[in-house]
Amino acid sequence: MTLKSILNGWQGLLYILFFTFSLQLGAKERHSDPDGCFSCHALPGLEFVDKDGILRVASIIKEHYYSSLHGSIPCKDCHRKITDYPHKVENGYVDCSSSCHLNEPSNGERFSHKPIVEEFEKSVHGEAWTKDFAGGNRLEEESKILDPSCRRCHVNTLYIPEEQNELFMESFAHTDTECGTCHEGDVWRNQFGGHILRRLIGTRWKKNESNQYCIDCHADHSKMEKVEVEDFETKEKSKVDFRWVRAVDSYQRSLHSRLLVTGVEEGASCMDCHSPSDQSSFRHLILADEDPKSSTHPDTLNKTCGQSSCHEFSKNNLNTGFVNTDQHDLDLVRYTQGMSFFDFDRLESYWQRSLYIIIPLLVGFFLGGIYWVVFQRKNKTQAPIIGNDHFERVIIGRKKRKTKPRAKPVKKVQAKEPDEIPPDTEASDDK
Amino acid sequence: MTNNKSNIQRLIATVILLSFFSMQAGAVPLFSQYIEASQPSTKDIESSRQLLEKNQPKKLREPLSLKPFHQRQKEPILDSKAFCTRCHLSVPHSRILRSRAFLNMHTQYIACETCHFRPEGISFNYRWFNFDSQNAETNIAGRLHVDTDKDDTTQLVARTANVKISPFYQGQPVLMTYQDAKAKEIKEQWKSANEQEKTKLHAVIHGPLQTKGPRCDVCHTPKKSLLNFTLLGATDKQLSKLQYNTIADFFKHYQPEGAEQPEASQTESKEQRIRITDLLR
Repeated sequence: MTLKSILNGWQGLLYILFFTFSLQLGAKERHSDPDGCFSCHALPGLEFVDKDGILRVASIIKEHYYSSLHGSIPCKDCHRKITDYPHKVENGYVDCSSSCHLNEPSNGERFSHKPIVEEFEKSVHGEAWTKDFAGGNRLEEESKILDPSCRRCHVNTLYIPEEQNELFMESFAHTDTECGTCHEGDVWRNQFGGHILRRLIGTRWKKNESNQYCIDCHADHSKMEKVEVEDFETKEKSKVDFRWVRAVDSYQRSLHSRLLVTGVEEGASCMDCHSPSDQSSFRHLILADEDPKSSTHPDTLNKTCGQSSCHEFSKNNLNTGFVNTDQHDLDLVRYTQGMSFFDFDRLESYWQRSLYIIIPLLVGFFLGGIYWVVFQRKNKTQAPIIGNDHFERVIIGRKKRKTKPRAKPVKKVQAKEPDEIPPDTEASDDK
Repeated sequence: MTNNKSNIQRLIATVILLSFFSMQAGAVPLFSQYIEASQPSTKDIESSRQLLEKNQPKKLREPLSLKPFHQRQKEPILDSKAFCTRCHLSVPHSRILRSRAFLNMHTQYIACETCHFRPEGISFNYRWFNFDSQNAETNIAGRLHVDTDKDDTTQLVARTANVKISPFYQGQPVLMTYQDAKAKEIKEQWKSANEQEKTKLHAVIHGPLQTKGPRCDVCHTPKKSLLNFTLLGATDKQLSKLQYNTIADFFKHYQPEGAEQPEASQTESKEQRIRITDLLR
């Protein structure tokens, strides 16, 4: 039997299928460190102080990396151009939209964060960095860039968060008996089992945790005061107003936030309103309120508030008033350090407007009262302007007084003691 | 020939000097004695002046709010009680790109004097020195950390103690801690010194030291290593990894730095770069 005859026959087809299948199986094997980066980077204590005085640590915890979200990805999938040592900083730049050598389990295509980056770039944060990330340019980003880059919110966390590990292990043990009824074999379990189970055991980020990423920047008032926003129509940039700067303060006083803080997950996080899952595929599409596509635009609020498990009744047009409830009500913002009553930016608050009227009146009455107590109380000639005289005349029957002009208060001259009188005065009197 | 002659003269002078100090000083650390005898030349003082002018004391910046992406192994910064760390940072190497991180890694378990104080004609023994007790450390089992795979984690001693490999001479520690009388004297002198006096004092302190430490293969070699790893507690496996060290082998590919080229002139653009795949050669 020649090779040609084998390949021509039905057995040949089997051989070809066998080899093709074997190669595919082989390709599924993943080596996280094929380039040997951990030969150095796993050594503890690789540190130096750079020219800016920042302590740089090049030691990566290998065990953590292998158990992390990127644990299956070789270093060079992200740090693509590193070939030499010492590494040139720019050769290590990471572009989050590049594709890596990992196939997305659901469609078998190369995995990439590109769709997320594309969505993010259309958002209000779109001017932030999505590439050129290196340990050496963190200071540059922190000091010069206000928009949050990918790495501002995302670090390489564990694939299974520590608190969910026990639940995951328990669930993973059942894959043979439960998932295994249909999906037989280790290949499926190794490739998809963990991937699916991780999603079944609960969301990665709790609402409070995701809020914290927003709060880290938006609660920094001095940083927020530097922000300029673009007008949706004219594209002109202008400084943000007081209400915008204090958005976290007003949110934190709202019911949405307070429910979350007390551990009730039904509260609404920042993302729930500003990038809800049914309007933003990857929850990175935060748009300005004025943008008609924004989830917080007045025309879309009923849809946003009425998203599943929230206020579904708000989808009814009769409930439009409800959806217009101000979620960043300045009335709720406390006076804290650095805030002044004379901060006219707060005029949007009805309380503040009322106070601007009430307080001057109160101050006037108070000062008038003090003036009366000090200067007028002992003046016996003064009479009430209304009421009192009328009462005496009508009820008691006293004759009407003749109105006299108010007497000037008489200064009391204290008589001097005789021995205090100077001798000259006595002499002059004798004369 | 002339070099040999001058070396012999230097050796004889050193031996006489040491004998003299041994008799006079008793348990005074050898490094301290060398500082006492240090007489810097005009060139040394000028070099010190330039260094002091150029290298202002470095301050560590507060950690950035923008966190690093990877979870990193941050080693605790211990107060080593070493005399040198009164002025230098505990991660003192920063100029040479290719070696700074590796050298700083070594500072966790190797005292400064081990690399930078190697007077000619004197042979030191290198042992573990406990900076807290200021004595030789006797508990050496599991103190060497070699393998990045940490397959022998159970046997390792946590690096929480100030214990470092240090030179010993005639059974006595060579190095000087900041609690030594000479260290305190220098501290007081420095406080009250003007710029000119500081320059001279800098030259006096650094006179007995070598700016450059030994090459990697002075220790990481199976032949006559500076350090006796077995005496330092290395297992057979660790000994093999230390003697035939991959990273030390990689560093052999670099051109040696010329003595005429000061470290400060090393910039990123001038730095010699080698392909990492050369590790496989």
